[in-house]
Amino acid sequence: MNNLTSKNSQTLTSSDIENLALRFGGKSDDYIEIVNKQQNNNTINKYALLKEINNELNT
Amino acid sequence: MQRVFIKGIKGGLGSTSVVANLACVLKKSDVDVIAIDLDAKSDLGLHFGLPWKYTKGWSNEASFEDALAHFHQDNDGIIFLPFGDSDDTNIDKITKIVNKCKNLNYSDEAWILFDCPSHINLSYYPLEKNDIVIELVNCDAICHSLIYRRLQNLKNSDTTWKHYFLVNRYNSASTLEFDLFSLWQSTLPLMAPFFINSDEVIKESTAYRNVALNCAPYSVANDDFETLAGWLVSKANL
Repeated sequence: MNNLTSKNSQTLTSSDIENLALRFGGKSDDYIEIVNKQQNNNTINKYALLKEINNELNT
Repeated sequence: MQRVFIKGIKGGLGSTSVVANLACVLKKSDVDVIAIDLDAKSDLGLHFGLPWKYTKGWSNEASFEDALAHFHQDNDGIIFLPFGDSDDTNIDKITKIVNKCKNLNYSDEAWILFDCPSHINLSYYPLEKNDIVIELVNCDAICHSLIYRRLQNLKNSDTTWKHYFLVNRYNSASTLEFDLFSLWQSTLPLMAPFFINSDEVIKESTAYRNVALNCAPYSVANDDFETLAGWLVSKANL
Protein backbone atom coordinates (compact mmCIF):
# COMPACT_ATOMS: atom_id res chain seq x y z
CA MET A 1 0.00 0.00 0.00
CA ASN A 2 1.36 3.37 -0.95
CA ASN A 3 1.77 5.94 1.73
CA LEU A 4 -0.75 8.53 0.66
CA THR A 5 -0.03 11.08 3.34
CA SER A 6 3.32 12.11 1.94
CA LYS A 7 5.49 11.70 -1.08
CA ASN A 8 8.45 9.43 -0.65
CA SER A 9 10.95 11.46 -2.58
CA GLN A 10 11.94 15.09 -2.37
CA THR A 11 12.57 15.04 -6.08
CA LEU A 12 9.40 15.06 -8.12
CA THR A 13 9.11 13.25 -11.40
CA SER A 14 5.70 13.86 -12.83
CA SER A 15 3.70 10.72 -13.51
CA ASP A 16 1.25 12.94 -15.35
CA ILE A 17 3.90 13.89 -17.87
CA GLU A 18 4.84 10.22 -18.11
CA ASN A 19 1.27 9.21 -18.90
CA LEU A 20 0.95 11.91 -21.52
CA ALA A 21 4.21 10.76 -23.07
CA LEU A 22 2.94 7.19 -23.21
CA ARG A 23 -0.20 8.35 -24.92
CA PHE A 24 1.13 10.96 -27.30
CA GLY A 25 4.83 10.15 -27.54
CA GLY A 26 7.80 12.25 -26.53
CA LYS A 27 10.28 12.08 -23.70
CA SER A 28 9.02 11.96 -20.15
CA ASP A 29 12.22 11.34 -18.24
CA ASP A 30 13.67 14.83 -18.57
CA TYR A 31 11.01 16.51 -16.46
CA ILE A 32 12.52 16.87 -13.02
CA GLU A 33 11.40 19.46 -10.55
CA ILE A 34 13.47 20.21 -7.49
CA VAL A 35 11.34 20.91 -4.46
CA ASN A 36 12.16 24.00 -2.52
CA LYS A 37 12.13 22.42 0.93
CA GLN A 38 13.00 25.66 2.64
CA GLN A 39 10.04 27.45 1.04
CA ASN A 40 7.71 24.66 2.16
CA ASN A 41 9.03 24.83 5.71
CA ASN A 42 8.56 28.59 5.71
CA THR A 43 4.94 28.20 4.61
CA ILE A 44 4.21 25.57 7.25
CA ASN A 45 5.81 27.64 10.00
CA LYS A 46 4.05 30.81 8.84
CA TYR A 47 0.52 29.51 9.48
CA ALA A 48 -0.42 28.08 12.88
CA LEU A 49 -2.97 25.54 11.63
CA LEU A 50 -0.59 24.15 9.02
CA LYS A 51 2.12 23.89 11.65
CA GLU A 52 -0.17 22.02 14.03
CA ILE A 53 -1.25 19.55 11.31
CA ASN A 54 2.37 19.04 10.27
CA ASN A 55 3.41 18.39 13.85
CA GLU A 56 0.59 15.88 14.37
CA LEU A 57 1.49 14.00 11.21
CA ASN A 58 5.14 13.80 12.18
CA THR A 59 4.67 12.53 15.73
CA MET B 1 -17.95 4.70 -20.76
CA GLN B 2 -15.73 6.80 -18.52
CA ARG B 3 -17.36 7.76 -15.23
CA VAL B 4 -16.20 10.89 -13.43
CA PHE B 5 -17.48 11.76 -9.96
CA ILE B 6 -17.04 15.40 -9.00
CA LYS B 7 -17.67 16.60 -5.46
CA GLY B 8 -16.50 19.32 -3.13
CA ILE B 9 -14.42 18.30 -0.14
CA LYS B 10 -16.81 20.65 1.67
CA GLY B 11 -19.95 22.47 0.58
CA GLY B 12 -20.08 25.43 -1.78
CA LEU B 13 -16.92 24.75 -3.78
CA GLY B 14 -18.62 24.95 -7.17
CA SER B 15 -18.90 21.30 -8.18
CA THR B 16 -22.07 21.91 -10.20
CA SER B 17 -20.43 24.69 -12.22
CA VAL B 18 -17.40 22.49 -12.81
CA VAL B 19 -19.58 19.61 -14.04
CA ALA B 20 -21.54 21.87 -16.40
CA ASN B 21 -18.49 23.64 -17.86
CA LEU B 22 -16.46 20.45 -18.14
CA ALA B 23 -19.36 18.71 -19.90
CA CYS B 24 -19.50 21.44 -22.56
CA VAL B 25 -15.75 21.35 -23.17
CA LEU B 26 -15.75 17.55 -23.47
CA LYS B 27 -18.69 17.75 -25.84
CA LYS B 28 -16.54 19.80 -28.22
CA SER B 29 -14.72 16.54 -29.01
CA ASP B 30 -17.97 15.26 -30.44
CA VAL B 31 -18.30 12.45 -27.92
CA ASP B 32 -21.41 11.64 -25.94
CA VAL B 33 -21.47 13.46 -22.62
CA ILE B 34 -24.03 12.67 -19.94
CA ALA B 35 -24.32 14.72 -16.75
CA ILE B 36 -26.21 13.28 -13.79
CA ASP B 37 -27.26 15.47 -10.88
CA LEU B 38 -26.95 13.57 -7.58
CA ASP B 39 -27.30 16.69 -5.44
CA ALA B 40 -30.65 17.51 -3.86
CA LYS B 41 -30.14 21.18 -4.74
CA SER B 42 -31.02 20.03 -8.26
CA ASP B 43 -29.46 23.07 -9.94
CA LEU B 44 -27.32 21.38 -12.61
CA GLY B 45 -30.14 21.74 -15.14
CA LEU B 46 -30.11 25.53 -14.76
CA HIS B 47 -26.63 25.62 -16.33
CA PHE B 48 -27.99 23.73 -19.31
CA GLY B 49 -31.00 25.96 -19.85
CA LEU B 50 -33.63 23.86 -18.08
CA PRO B 51 -36.66 26.04 -17.24
CA TRP B 52 -36.66 27.15 -13.60
CA LYS B 53 -40.22 25.92 -13.12
CA TYR B 54 -39.17 22.41 -14.13
CA THR B 55 -38.45 20.78 -10.79
CA LYS B 56 -38.87 17.09 -11.50
CA GLY B 57 -36.09 14.58 -11.90
CA TRP B 58 -35.00 11.03 -11.21
CA SER B 59 -35.70 11.29 -7.46
CA ASN B 60 -39.42 11.71 -8.19
CA GLU B 61 -39.65 8.33 -9.85
CA ALA B 62 -39.80 4.88 -8.34
CA SER B 63 -37.84 3.14 -11.05
CA PHE B 64 -34.97 4.00 -13.39
CA GLU B 65 -37.20 3.23 -16.36
CA ASP B 66 -39.59 5.97 -15.23
CA ALA B 67 -36.66 8.32 -14.60
CA LEU B 68 -35.64 8.01 -18.24
CA ALA B 69 -38.46 10.44 -19.03
CA HIS B 70 -36.50 13.16 -17.19
CA PHE B 71 -33.39 12.99 -19.37
CA HIS B 72 -32.94 16.22 -21.35
CA GLN B 73 -30.61 17.41 -24.06
CA ASP B 74 -29.25 20.96 -24.15
CA ASN B 75 -28.42 23.04 -27.24
CA ASP B 76 -24.85 21.70 -27.29
CA GLY B 77 -26.07 18.10 -27.29
CA ILE B 78 -25.25 17.30 -23.68
CA ILE B 79 -27.58 14.78 -22.10
CA PHE B 80 -28.43 15.62 -18.51
CA LEU B 81 -30.64 14.19 -15.77
CA PRO B 82 -31.91 16.54 -13.05
CA PHE B 83 -32.17 15.38 -9.46
CA GLY B 84 -35.76 16.50 -8.92
CA ASP B 85 -37.49 17.71 -5.79
CA SER B 86 -38.31 14.57 -3.81
CA ASP B 87 -37.62 14.82 -0.09
CA ASP B 88 -37.50 11.06 0.20
CA THR B 89 -34.08 10.35 -1.25
CA ASN B 90 -31.44 8.34 0.55
CA ILE B 91 -28.02 6.97 -0.27
CA ASP B 92 -29.51 3.67 -1.45
CA LYS B 93 -31.45 5.48 -4.17
CA ILE B 94 -28.34 7.40 -5.21
CA THR B 95 -26.34 4.16 -5.38
CA LYS B 96 -29.09 2.60 -7.46
CA ILE B 97 -29.21 5.45 -9.98
CA VAL B 98 -25.40 5.43 -10.32
CA ASN B 99 -25.46 1.70 -11.05
CA LYS B 100 -28.41 1.93 -13.43
CA CYS B 101 -26.62 4.62 -15.46
CA LYS B 102 -24.14 1.95 -16.48
CA ASN B 103 -26.91 0.42 -18.54
CA LEU B 104 -27.42 3.53 -20.65
CA ASN B 105 -26.91 2.74 -24.29
CA TYR B 106 -23.97 4.98 -25.19
CA SER B 107 -20.66 4.30 -26.87
CA ASP B 108 -17.57 3.19 -24.99
CA GLU B 109 -16.07 6.64 -25.63
CA ALA B 110 -18.88 8.41 -23.80
CA TRP B 111 -18.29 10.43 -20.64
CA ILE B 112 -20.69 10.33 -17.75
CA LEU B 113 -20.22 13.05 -15.15
CA PHE B 114 -21.83 12.84 -11.71
CA ASP B 115 -22.41 16.00 -9.70
CA CYS B 116 -22.05 14.61 -6.17
CA PRO B 117 -23.17 16.35 -2.98
CA SER B 118 -20.34 17.12 -0.59
CA HIS B 119 -22.08 15.70 2.50
CA ILE B 120 -22.24 12.10 1.24
CA ASN B 121 -19.08 10.15 1.92
CA LEU B 122 -17.33 8.67 -1.10
CA SER B 123 -17.41 5.22 0.47
CA TYR B 124 -21.17 5.08 -0.16
CA TYR B 125 -20.75 5.34 -3.93
CA PRO B 126 -20.33 2.14 -5.97
CA LEU B 127 -16.91 3.20 -7.25
CA GLU B 128 -14.91 0.93 -9.53
CA LYS B 129 -11.32 0.65 -10.66
CA ASN B 130 -11.60 2.83 -13.75
CA ASP B 131 -13.71 5.54 -12.14
CA ILE B 132 -12.19 8.97 -11.69
CA VAL B 133 -13.06 10.92 -8.55
CA ILE B 134 -12.26 14.62 -8.42
CA GLU B 135 -12.56 16.30 -5.07
CA LEU B 136 -12.64 20.06 -5.41
CA VAL B 137 -10.79 22.14 -2.87
CA ASN B 138 -10.12 25.81 -2.26
CA CYS B 139 -6.70 27.07 -1.32
CA ASP B 140 -7.56 27.68 2.31
CA ALA B 141 -6.50 26.23 5.64
CA ILE B 142 -9.74 24.28 6.21
CA CYS B 143 -9.29 22.46 2.91
CA HIS B 144 -5.66 21.82 3.90
CA SER B 145 -6.97 20.07 7.00
CA LEU B 146 -9.67 18.19 5.09
CA ILE B 147 -7.21 17.00 2.42
CA TYR B 148 -4.95 15.47 5.07
CA ARG B 149 -7.91 13.78 6.74
CA ARG B 150 -9.05 12.42 3.36
CA LEU B 151 -5.54 11.13 2.60
CA GLN B 152 -5.50 9.31 5.91
CA ASN B 153 -8.91 7.75 5.12
CA LEU B 154 -7.75 6.72 1.66
CA LYS B 155 -4.61 5.20 3.12
CA ASN B 156 -6.70 3.04 5.45
CA SER B 157 -9.22 1.95 2.84
CA ASP B 158 -9.06 -0.31 -0.18
CA THR B 159 -9.20 2.51 -2.68
CA THR B 160 -9.21 1.26 -6.24
CA TRP B 161 -10.53 4.28 -8.09
CA LYS B 162 -8.44 7.16 -9.44
CA HIS B 163 -8.72 9.89 -6.84
CA TYR B 164 -7.53 13.47 -7.37
CA PHE B 165 -7.80 16.83 -5.68
CA LEU B 166 -8.41 19.87 -7.87
CA VAL B 167 -8.15 23.49 -6.76
CA ASN B 168 -11.16 25.48 -7.86
CA ARG B 169 -11.59 29.28 -7.77
CA TYR B 170 -7.88 29.95 -7.35
CA ASN B 171 -7.16 33.60 -6.59
CA SER B 172 -3.69 34.39 -7.92
CA ALA B 173 -3.61 37.71 -6.03
CA SER B 174 -3.76 35.96 -2.65
CA THR B 175 -0.48 35.27 -0.86
CA LEU B 176 -2.11 32.56 1.25
CA GLU B 177 -3.47 30.75 -1.82
CA PHE B 178 -0.08 30.95 -3.55
CA ASP B 179 1.65 29.58 -0.45
CA LEU B 180 -0.81 26.72 -0.08
CA PHE B 181 -0.88 25.76 -3.76
CA SER B 182 2.93 25.73 -3.93
CA LEU B 183 3.08 23.60 -0.78
CA TRP B 184 0.43 21.16 -2.00
CA GLN B 185 2.00 20.77 -5.42
CA SER B 186 5.34 19.77 -3.97
CA THR B 187 4.27 17.71 -0.96
CA LEU B 188 0.84 16.17 -1.57
CA PRO B 189 0.09 13.15 -3.73
CA LEU B 190 -3.07 13.09 -5.86
CA MET B 191 -3.07 16.84 -6.55
CA ALA B 192 -4.03 17.81 -10.09
CA PRO B 193 -1.06 19.73 -11.56
CA PHE B 194 -3.12 22.84 -12.36
CA PHE B 195 -6.02 24.84 -10.98
CA ILE B 196 -9.26 26.44 -12.08
CA ASN B 197 -8.88 30.19 -11.73
CA SER B 198 -11.49 32.25 -9.97
CA ASP B 199 -13.25 33.97 -12.84
CA GLU B 200 -16.33 36.18 -12.87
CA VAL B 201 -17.21 34.55 -16.20
CA ILE B 202 -18.45 31.44 -14.41
CA LYS B 203 -20.99 33.39 -12.38
CA GLU B 204 -21.95 35.58 -15.32
CA SER B 205 -22.45 32.68 -17.71
CA THR B 206 -24.65 30.94 -15.13
CA ALA B 207 -26.69 34.13 -14.85
CA TYR B 208 -27.15 33.98 -18.61
CA ARG B 209 -28.31 30.35 -18.21
CA ASN B 210 -25.22 29.08 -19.97
CA VAL B 211 -21.57 28.03 -19.57
CA ALA B 212 -18.21 29.75 -20.09
CA LEU B 213 -17.54 28.01 -23.40
CA ASN B 214 -20.59 29.63 -25.00
CA CYS B 215 -20.51 33.01 -23.23
CA ALA B 216 -16.76 33.70 -23.08
CA PRO B 217 -14.79 31.13 -25.08
CA TYR B 218 -11.52 33.08 -24.67
CA SER B 219 -11.85 33.47 -20.92
CA VAL B 220 -9.29 32.27 -18.41
CA ALA B 221 -11.86 29.94 -16.88
CA ASN B 222 -12.67 28.29 -20.19
CA ASP B 223 -8.96 27.76 -20.83
CA ASP B 224 -8.77 26.07 -17.43
CA PHE B 225 -11.67 23.77 -18.24
CA GLU B 226 -10.03 22.82 -21.52
CA THR B 227 -6.90 21.98 -19.55
CA LEU B 228 -9.00 19.91 -17.17
CA ALA B 229 -10.66 18.06 -20.05
CA GLY B 230 -7.32 17.28 -21.71
CA TRP B 231 -5.85 16.08 -18.44
CA LEU B 232 -8.88 13.84 -17.83
CA VAL B 233 -8.43 12.32 -21.28
CA SER B 234 -4.89 11.38 -20.25
CA LYS B 235 -6.25 9.71 -17.10
CA ALA B 236 -9.25 8.02 -18.69
CA ASN B 237 -9.51 4.41 -19.60
CA LEU B 238 -11.19 4.88 -22.97
